[in-house]
Amino acid sequence: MPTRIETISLKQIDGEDRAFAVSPVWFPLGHLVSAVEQVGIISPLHLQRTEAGRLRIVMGFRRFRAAQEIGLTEVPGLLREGESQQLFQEGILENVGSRCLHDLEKAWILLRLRSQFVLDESALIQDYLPLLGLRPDRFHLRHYLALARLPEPIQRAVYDYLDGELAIKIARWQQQERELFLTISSGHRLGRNKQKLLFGLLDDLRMQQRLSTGDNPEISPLKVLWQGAGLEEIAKDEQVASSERFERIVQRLRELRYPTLSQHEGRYRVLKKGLKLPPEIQLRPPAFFEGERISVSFSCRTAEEFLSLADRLRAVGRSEELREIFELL
Amino acid sequence: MDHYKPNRIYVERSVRHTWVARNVLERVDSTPVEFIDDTGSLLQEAKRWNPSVSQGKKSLILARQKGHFFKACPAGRGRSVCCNYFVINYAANCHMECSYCYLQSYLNFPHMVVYANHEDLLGELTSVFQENPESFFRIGTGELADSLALDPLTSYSEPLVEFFSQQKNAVLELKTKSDCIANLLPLDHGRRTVVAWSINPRIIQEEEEHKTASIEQRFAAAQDCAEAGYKIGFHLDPMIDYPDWEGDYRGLIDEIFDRIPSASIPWISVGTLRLTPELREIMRSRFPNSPLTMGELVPTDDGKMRYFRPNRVRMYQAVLGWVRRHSQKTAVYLCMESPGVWSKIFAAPPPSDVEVGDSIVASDLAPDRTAIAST
Repeated sequence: MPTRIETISLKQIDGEDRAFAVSPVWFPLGHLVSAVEQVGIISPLHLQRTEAGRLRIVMGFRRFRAAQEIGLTEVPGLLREGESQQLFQEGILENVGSRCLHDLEKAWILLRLRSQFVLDESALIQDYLPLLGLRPDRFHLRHYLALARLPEPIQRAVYDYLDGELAIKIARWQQQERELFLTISSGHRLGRNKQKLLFGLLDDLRMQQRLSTGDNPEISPLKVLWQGAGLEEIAKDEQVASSERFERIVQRLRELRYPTLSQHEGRYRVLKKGLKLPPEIQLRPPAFFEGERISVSFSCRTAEEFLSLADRLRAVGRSEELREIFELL
Repeated sequence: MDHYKPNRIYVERSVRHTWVARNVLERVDSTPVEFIDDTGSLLQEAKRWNPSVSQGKKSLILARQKGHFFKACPAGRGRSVCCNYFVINYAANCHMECSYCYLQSYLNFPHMVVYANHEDLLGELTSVFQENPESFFRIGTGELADSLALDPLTSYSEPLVEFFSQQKNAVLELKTKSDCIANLLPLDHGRRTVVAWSINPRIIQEEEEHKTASIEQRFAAAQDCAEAGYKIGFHLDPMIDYPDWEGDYRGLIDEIFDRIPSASIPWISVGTLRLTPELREIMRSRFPNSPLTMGELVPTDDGKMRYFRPNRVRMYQAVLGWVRRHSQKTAVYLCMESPGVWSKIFAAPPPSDVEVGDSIVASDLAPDRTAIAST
């Protein structure tokens, strides 16, 4: 490895040649620009001379972009010789040793090793997954390769907020459906659990639509559902706060996905309302009506209040509504 | 049905001379065979390579069961009513590819395994029966594998049926979706073996139970076994909720009693579809056109998803009614259901597990046992 650092004109470097890049070009530079502005580029870029006589970046893509953004004309560089695969591997080691790689970067590295350097699955699992801090098995390898192959808008969503596993799953949807999911999940700033909840409902309903109408690449099952089941109106209702709008979307999706359960819950709500319970008395059915008991709780401040609630409970106990509530179980 | 044809066989050296291993090796002459010390390295390989479920099953392992063959059925653990059933794990995995099969997510080893040391199994059973002379055991081999699908290769059923024919306090259940009964017909079973079929309407078999024997083949096999004097069990499990379920299951039950004399049917069990979230994921990826995961399945106490409870209750009540039109004597019981659901169906709380078990065998299988449960 050469030890002499040279000063290299930015014009000599072909920034478009990303053969050794380990991150997507749109990855934000974060604090790097301001750091370079303050202290300049301390670590030299590693460069390889191409047959066309220009310089290809081996390591230092982000530093190169920062230098461009600031308007530097020269950067320190090390001219490297040797096998490309060896240089790429050194690049990986340098990155792994100096910073935390994002999952997408790990995915990019693996895809490059697979497609550009034609390493087989065995070599990737054995040599590279542990290096990247990943479990050495085929499951993880395939997961990361799938991440690296996601379309750019989904990769961007993964970078910002989207769960990687969900990203791979929605990539199998039609484009309109992917856009719908990304619009809702980014618009409502959904955390991982809510992303999963939304995905689960949409994926089931999408599948139901597909099974009932058959496969037609011209028709997006979710889009049809979205427009036909009043969801679009709910989503566009700007009068309602974002969080409540999302709750209403989920409620509507749930009604579509679980019609019998929803009817049952609706009937329970009507009956419970008919009991005219004071707020001090709480009635709770088992989750999903999967159980034999209704839970009743009440609170009071004095013995008189206690007796008064007991009278109320006794009256409620004789009502037809309560009998019917128990029959719902 | 599609019979199992491994594309590679691994044999642990310690079982290479067993009767079961010899049977298999004689019957698969062109399949490559590799002798290994134990399955540890195969397990490591499998962990690393994550072969697909279908790929993994193409390798057959003949291994030694180093633990116990005989266990209490795990279905009775936890929230479900226990029917006092016991299992023999003589093999693990099944090649028949039912879309809903729980083995897809349950087993941590992707290959087909047959435990070839069957003499140890018989020794273990002898001890259990002798040490518990007052107990009556209903024991099945269909927990982690189909009881008969591999029988053309292994003939495992032969020593088991003959062994049980000599037992006073036990009955063997061979539970299958195959029609591999050729080995059973000539055996002296002493009425101590029940051959049982998991069964579903034809449309479910055709669309969801890939590689299994057709319902027609299963009925034909059941009739042959009944004629050979075997008792015949049926398991409507998993029962599927779909638009025509009522007509189809009613027709299926009518067909059971039309084709098999009710006196030959000691029990029919019923259980609706249940999926762990993990299994649901696997089904969605392996069988993307199966509508089964689209049912109105909700989370239940044991972490499995089941049909919304009022729907399940309706299905069980219907089946019980249809069976009772044909037979008062055939026991009907629920598999992996809560005491609450059991109470709704049988209008009484479930009795103890021993009592439930006794009521299932209370017939000429175990005449000294009493039918306590109102099944």
